[in-house]
Amino acid sequence: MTTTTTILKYSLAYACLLIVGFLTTRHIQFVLALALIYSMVVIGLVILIGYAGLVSFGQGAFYAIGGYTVGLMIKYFGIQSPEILLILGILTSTAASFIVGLLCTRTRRLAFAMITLAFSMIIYTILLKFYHITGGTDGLRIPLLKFGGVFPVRGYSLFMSNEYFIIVTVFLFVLFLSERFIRSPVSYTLRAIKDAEVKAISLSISPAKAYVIAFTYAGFLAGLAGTLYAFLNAHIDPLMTYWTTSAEFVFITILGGASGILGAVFASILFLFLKTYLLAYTAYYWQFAIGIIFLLIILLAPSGLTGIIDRVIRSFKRVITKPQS
Amino acid sequence: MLDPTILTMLAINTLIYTVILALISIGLNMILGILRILNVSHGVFMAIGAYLSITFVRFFLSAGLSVFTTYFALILAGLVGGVLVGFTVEPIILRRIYNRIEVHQLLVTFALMLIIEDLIKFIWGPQSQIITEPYLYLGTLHIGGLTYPLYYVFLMAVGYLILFITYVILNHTKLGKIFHATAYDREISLALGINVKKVYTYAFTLGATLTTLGGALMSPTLSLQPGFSTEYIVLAFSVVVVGGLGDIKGAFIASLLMAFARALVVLVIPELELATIFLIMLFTILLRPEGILRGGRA
Repeated sequence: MTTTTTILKYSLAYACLLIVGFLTTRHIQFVLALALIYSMVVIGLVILIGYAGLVSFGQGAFYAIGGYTVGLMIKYFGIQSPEILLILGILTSTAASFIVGLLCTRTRRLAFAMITLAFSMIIYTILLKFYHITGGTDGLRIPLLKFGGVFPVRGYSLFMSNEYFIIVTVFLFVLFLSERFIRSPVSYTLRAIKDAEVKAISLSISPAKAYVIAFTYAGFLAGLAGTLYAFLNAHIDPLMTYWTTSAEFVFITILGGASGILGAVFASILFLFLKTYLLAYTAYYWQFAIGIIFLLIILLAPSGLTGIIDRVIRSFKRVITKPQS
Repeated sequence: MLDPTILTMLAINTLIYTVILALISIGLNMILGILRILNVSHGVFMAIGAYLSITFVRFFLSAGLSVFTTYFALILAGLVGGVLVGFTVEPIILRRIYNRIEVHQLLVTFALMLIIEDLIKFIWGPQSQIITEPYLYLGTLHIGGLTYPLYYVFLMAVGYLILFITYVILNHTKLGKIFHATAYDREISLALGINVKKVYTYAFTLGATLTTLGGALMSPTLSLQPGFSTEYIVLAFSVVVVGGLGDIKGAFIASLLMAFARALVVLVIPELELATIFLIMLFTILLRPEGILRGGRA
């Protein structure tokens, strides 16, 4: 793909997302922004689950590290600049995921799921129990920060909410970076290892190195998402790293088919709109509905939304091309 | 530190917590060993046992029976809950996912957990529930300057008895031998004429029953809220991992170890109470992935 078409593609995507923001209410923008934040974590999981075959049940840990970096830096160091907080959130979560990745990627399959789960639960219990520092179950409140001292992270100034604008902009950067990652040699290495690890090793490929890179990248995305979540939601709590949050991320990944970026984005949007509106209309019973929908999808269409869309497109094409053949 | 009062407290807390952990995690580990599925919905089975026991105890009391009979109500609730869960969940849902990849199995049981959690809210309501009669009826016990509710003695007596019965079933009956054979090699068992389908249902039901019994026994000591079981399932995961995946004896030893570690850390650094359990889990996976007795699948 040439540079021009790439620029055109991303400008088009950016324009579309901004037009959607322009046309919708602030509430829908909030849900969409949250969906884009979720999809950042999920894109990391697509790379881990779909490409590397590693099921991380602890992605919430890096999400929380990103969020709590913001909260604690404001509370204890009085940093008020969102640019610096964003960078710090990314740095801490990336560093944490690199170190955790070094340990965790020595394991595979169920053991990997369990070790990432253990790690996220350690972070959870620390956030929960050292409440005099972290605020415990109450979490931390994030004050209204201003980019460059003038542009508040939450508000309404550009025909759409500021938070939506900021998150869409960062999301486009994530999209660009992740597309590059998926087309990079590391990604092909991961697929080779997933298909035949012994053969890959015999071709002098180092699984450890590729796994650590993938894990660190996924942790970076989750940390970035957590930082943005702190800006958007104005409040963070330890549930960000509870195992059900991490399971929700894996859930959305599989819902999307764990095979590409678009599936991850659409699954996140679908999941969050379902959750928001089921919560509004059924009060206590949204989990029931989501559980049933998911059971049906995984039992009847194991390749998730991507698979369903593919099937629809294929049958559509068959209908179109029929008269010619 | 070596004060006899503290030592007694440590010992009793360890014993109580061991039986609770063992009841949840041995069932989970049996299902993992035989069906090869890590059942994320296992925690919510415990909630089913606990909520059923509330209904049973209230029914017994409103029927005019004495408080003494509620102890049988608790056990009955656990057994009914286990059979109910076992003979519905396995044939209807789990049977369809044995050939799927691990992450699908994990998520199907996670979806099941979400569904059952809301069903519980639907049946029993979202407010917290409590039954105190069985707990208060027995009074308290004084040992070495400490006061313990005597109910814990009942809990331990019944709990360890259930564990002993499970041990006998698994090691000294034909059913147990069939379970072992199926866990060891599904294909050969099939060739030898074992009805593996049936074995899966029975093993799942036995595993679920252990957990529902655990929930039923614990319910008088808790104020039940929807979602209380989400914490227990991760504790059960950690016990299963430390004991070795599929290793039943290892799971019991791991329960003992975890209970002791927790009781000890609570006395020294209470903030790290739960973190200790997950730290032990983390280091076990790194240093001894086949479990504490080296009896599990790595």
